[in-house]
Amino acid sequence: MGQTIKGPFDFKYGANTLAEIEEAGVNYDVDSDDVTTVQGHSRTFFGAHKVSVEATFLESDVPSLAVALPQYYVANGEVLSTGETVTDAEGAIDIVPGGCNAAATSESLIISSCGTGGQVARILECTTEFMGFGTFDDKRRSVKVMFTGNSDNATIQFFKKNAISVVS
Amino acid sequence: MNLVKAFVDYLQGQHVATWEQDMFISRAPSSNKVPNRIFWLKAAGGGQEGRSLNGGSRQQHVIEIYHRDTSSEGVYDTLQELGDNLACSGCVTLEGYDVLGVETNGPWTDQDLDNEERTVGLLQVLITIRKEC
Repeated sequence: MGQTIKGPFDFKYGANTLAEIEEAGVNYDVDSDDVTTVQGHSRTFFGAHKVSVEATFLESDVPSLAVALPQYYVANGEVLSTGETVTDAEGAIDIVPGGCNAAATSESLIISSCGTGGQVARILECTTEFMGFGTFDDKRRSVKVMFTGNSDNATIQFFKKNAISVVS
Repeated sequence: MNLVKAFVDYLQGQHVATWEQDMFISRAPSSNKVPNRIFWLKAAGGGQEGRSLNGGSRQQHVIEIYHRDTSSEGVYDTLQELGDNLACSGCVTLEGYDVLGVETNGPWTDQDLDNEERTVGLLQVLITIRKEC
């Protein structure tokens, strides 16, 4: 008999744990072409797959965002796009669209269900992008980050925790 | 420290009253032992506002602030001012808790059943906290 995959869930981007996530919308699209034949049959041909996860971060301070958006992180002592020097150990986040010096990073997004026998969903080689704000009211500010899979291999993998060996 | 005690400490810091002199938890002590003008706080439940995928939650707790004195208008004015101050307090810091927001309901006033010369007032305080698991 199968099992329901239950939360709470742990989220990791590469080796780094992601902060409290309020909600995550997973989009999985598969291109398809429908062809009809003169014999009266309809055939569907499946093409490219695309996967993305839009996560709403409940914890949206600089250290939390730096893990998910490393390409926009400005460390202590470095200079923002507006010319100011960052003077705090936590650094800053500087969302500069299409910046020439922005280093695109790509890590797997790993979503693990609870318990030692939990299940993992791994979305390979995700790039991240800032997608605006979720809730921004008198109680809290949440931030949306899109993780988009860009792997040449699998788009998404499912396996039990610790069920795969390290690539040698 | 429980939330009610943490809130008592906050009110003491705002010079509303003094713990165990004219501010108490759960009930008002016998009138023989304390002055007419006192406050007492009671835990009044609450609920969960939401959960994160990581298992954390946002919880709203209700704390009732009771206040009594011989001046009925004074009781109302005191609680109204306290409610206004809480509404405009900005970031409320309670020791050991991540407070997201504070709201109030009331105040209400009525005659004190223990002493017809006194009025008792009630201000409900709704405190939303974030609980990380």
